[in-house]
Amino acid sequence: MGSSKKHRERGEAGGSEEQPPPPPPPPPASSSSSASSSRHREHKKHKHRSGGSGERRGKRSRSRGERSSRRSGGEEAAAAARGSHGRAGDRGAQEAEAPRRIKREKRDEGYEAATSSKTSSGDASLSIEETNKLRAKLGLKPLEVNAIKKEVGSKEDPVAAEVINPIVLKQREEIREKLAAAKEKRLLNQKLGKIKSLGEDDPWLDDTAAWIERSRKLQVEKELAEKRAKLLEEMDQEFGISSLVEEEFGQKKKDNYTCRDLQGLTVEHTIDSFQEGETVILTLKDKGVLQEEEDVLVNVNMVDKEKAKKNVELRKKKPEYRPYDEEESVDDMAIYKYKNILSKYDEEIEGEKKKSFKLDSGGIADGSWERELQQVRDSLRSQAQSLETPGLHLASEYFTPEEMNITFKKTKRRVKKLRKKEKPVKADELLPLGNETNENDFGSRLRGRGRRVHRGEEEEEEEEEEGDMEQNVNQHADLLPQSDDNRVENMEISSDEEAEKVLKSPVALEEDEAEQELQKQLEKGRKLRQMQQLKESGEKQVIEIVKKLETRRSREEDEELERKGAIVFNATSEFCRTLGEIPTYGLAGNREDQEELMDFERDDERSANGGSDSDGEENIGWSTVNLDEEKQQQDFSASSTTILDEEPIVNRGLAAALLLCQNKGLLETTVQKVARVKAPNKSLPSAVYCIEDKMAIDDKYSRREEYRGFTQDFKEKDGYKPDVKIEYVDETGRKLTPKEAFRQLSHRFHGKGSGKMKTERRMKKLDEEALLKKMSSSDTPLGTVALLQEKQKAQKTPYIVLSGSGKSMNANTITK
Amino acid sequence: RLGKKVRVKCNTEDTIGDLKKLIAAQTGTRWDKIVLKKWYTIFKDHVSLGDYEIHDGMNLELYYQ
Repeated sequence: MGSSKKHRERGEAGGSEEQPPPPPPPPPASSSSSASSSRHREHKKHKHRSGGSGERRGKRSRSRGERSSRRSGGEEAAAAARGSHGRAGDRGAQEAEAPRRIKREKRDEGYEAATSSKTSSGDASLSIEETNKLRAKLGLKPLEVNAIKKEVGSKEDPVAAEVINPIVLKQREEIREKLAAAKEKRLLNQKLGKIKSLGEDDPWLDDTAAWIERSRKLQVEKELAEKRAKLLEEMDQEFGISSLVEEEFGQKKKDNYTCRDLQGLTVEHTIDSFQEGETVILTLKDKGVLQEEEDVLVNVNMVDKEKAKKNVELRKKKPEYRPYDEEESVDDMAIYKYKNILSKYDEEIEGEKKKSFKLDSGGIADGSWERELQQVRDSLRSQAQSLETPGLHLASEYFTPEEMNITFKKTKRRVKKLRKKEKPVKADELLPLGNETNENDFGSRLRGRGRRVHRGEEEEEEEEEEGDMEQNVNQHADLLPQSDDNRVENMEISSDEEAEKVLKSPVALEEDEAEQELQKQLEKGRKLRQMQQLKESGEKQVIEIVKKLETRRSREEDEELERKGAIVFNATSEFCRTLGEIPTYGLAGNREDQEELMDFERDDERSANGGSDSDGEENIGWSTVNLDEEKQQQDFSASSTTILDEEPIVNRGLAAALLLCQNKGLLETTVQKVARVKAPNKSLPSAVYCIEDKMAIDDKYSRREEYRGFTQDFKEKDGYKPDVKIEYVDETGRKLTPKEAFRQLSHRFHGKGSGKMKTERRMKKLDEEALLKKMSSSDTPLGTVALLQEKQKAQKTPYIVLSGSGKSMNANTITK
Repeated sequence: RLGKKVRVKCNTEDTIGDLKKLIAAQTGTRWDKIVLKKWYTIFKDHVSLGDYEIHDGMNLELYYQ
């Protein structure tokens, strides 16, 4: 449809063209319309050609119009003008559409103007002369000459008008701005040019000559200044105001502030917190206006840091109460410091102790004194002895070589003694001492220290073959106060006993006097004991004992001699010795062999022990390890303590008797369950309730009692207004609301309670109420805050790390 | 566009009334019938072009009353 319109328009345009000599108005109109239509058409993209063609048509029409206008002549000047104007307008329109055709327009205009000027009608523009004529007619001043110049181009010589180019204008503006900025900069630099920047160096710094010159100049200037000052002073003195001037200048000098002025100030940080080489700015600490204490210097950042540290420590929530802590503590400097009760509150009560140091006379503080202190502390600490017991370690089954050496040292003492014994003996010496033998009973019955008498005798018997000298020697050896440590001796005389015994004889006996003394003392003690023994038992026992001892000793000797008298240390025997007694030894009855072996010994020892027990004497020195005896004793004691409890003494009281009975199981302590019927919910209470039958009032005699008269309130009870409060309670003891109370009543009345659902709901409600009451006000229902604090205490950090997926972080993992 | 386009040479000190007369001479109408506007600003007759800042090449709208 649109296209059809265009066609029509085209048709119109075509129609207009076809009528070449129409009256001028129609063609302009048509042309204008065509022009407009063509203009419209031109706007469409695919109608360029048509637009173009339209233009061409327009032009053709114009040209025709021109011709027509020319033909028409002056009468139709206006019309022609209009037409031409219209055409010009058309052209203008065309030009509006295509702005690049301005040139053509000008040309055309000029042309037109030229042509139209002939018609003496100013249409587009008039020439200057014409304009002036017109103006003269109108009574206006003629045009100015400047305007003429501008206009020249447009009329005679069509010159392209200046395109008002916004870009160029902008550029001009920018240039102006730049110029202005540059100017300002220049001015500023001029002003600041006097000040030297850091990068600049005065020429006289590098060059010595220049420097010398400059210094000379300065000196000259100084001298001049001094002269001037002197002059001024003289003048001042003349006027008598010199003192005033001095004062003024003097004050300025006082203002110089050096480090000496910091003498005596305290700095409220530890000296260690300042590192070498760093500059820390200290400011005066705030204090009240009326406080007259000394000034204190602090550094703000360090104060904040200390505070933050303290807060972190507090957040860690270290336990304050240490029950096993010692009451007093020893300080670093070995100073005894007593800890007060509730020492954690000291800071609260007494105020925070702050570490500070003072600046000395020069305003300087060095850490030398502190360092000395530290050195002293370290030295003291190194000297200190720790009270800790040596750590526990696993006992090993076997001796380590060191332990072997320590425990089983070969004491060389005895060897010497032996040697001393082996002195050439004179018969004279021997004889007088021989009397003593029988008197003394050198009997510790056990193998211990005692006289060697019997041994000597035995030896005598044995070694008769070897000769008298030996006997004598031995006897003498026995007679002399010797300690009877057979074992040790025999240890030494291991393999070479025979040989040594032979050797013994010629060796002279030399005894230390000290040893002799000791032996004398021991002998005295023994004598006393023996005296006692004699008193108690009598001679017979003595003889028996002596005999037994003999036999025992002989046996022992045999054994020893068999074994070469050596005590063989068996690993197992040593182990057993270190073990100590075994309480359960032999209980199983599988220790027969041991028993057999030890039987005779046991007998002897028991008897011996019995005797010794009766005496109640202790063995001096070495005592034999009587495993067997101790074992047996242990057996008895163990059996008595472990199997049977101590029987409670019945005569102590009823409680003891009862306890005994209970232990024996004579009492029945279990409660017997009585067969009880479990009351069903709410059904039984109704049994308590009885329905009152009010119709029973009707019988004759009860009616008589009735009062049917006038009743009146008691006068004396007028002021009585009791505050009646009836509280209903349920089975748990809770107070009931009216609703619940009525429900309770109706249940009892009807004899049945609620059904299952209802009771369940009620129970749930009650539980929820209970839970609500139990909830803590300061914490979440899950106890999150408490858990958080517990975790912090455990980790000893003021924060908690949340890690892991959501699944791992449920209430089960965060446990106390 | 319908209408006329007139180019007038005049001085800056001329008033709008003078301009109107010149235009009228060129267009062939009566000068008091002309109304010169720029958008909605009607130019008054007694004010000069210089005062209105009307410079060279400026377009004014020509209306008739």
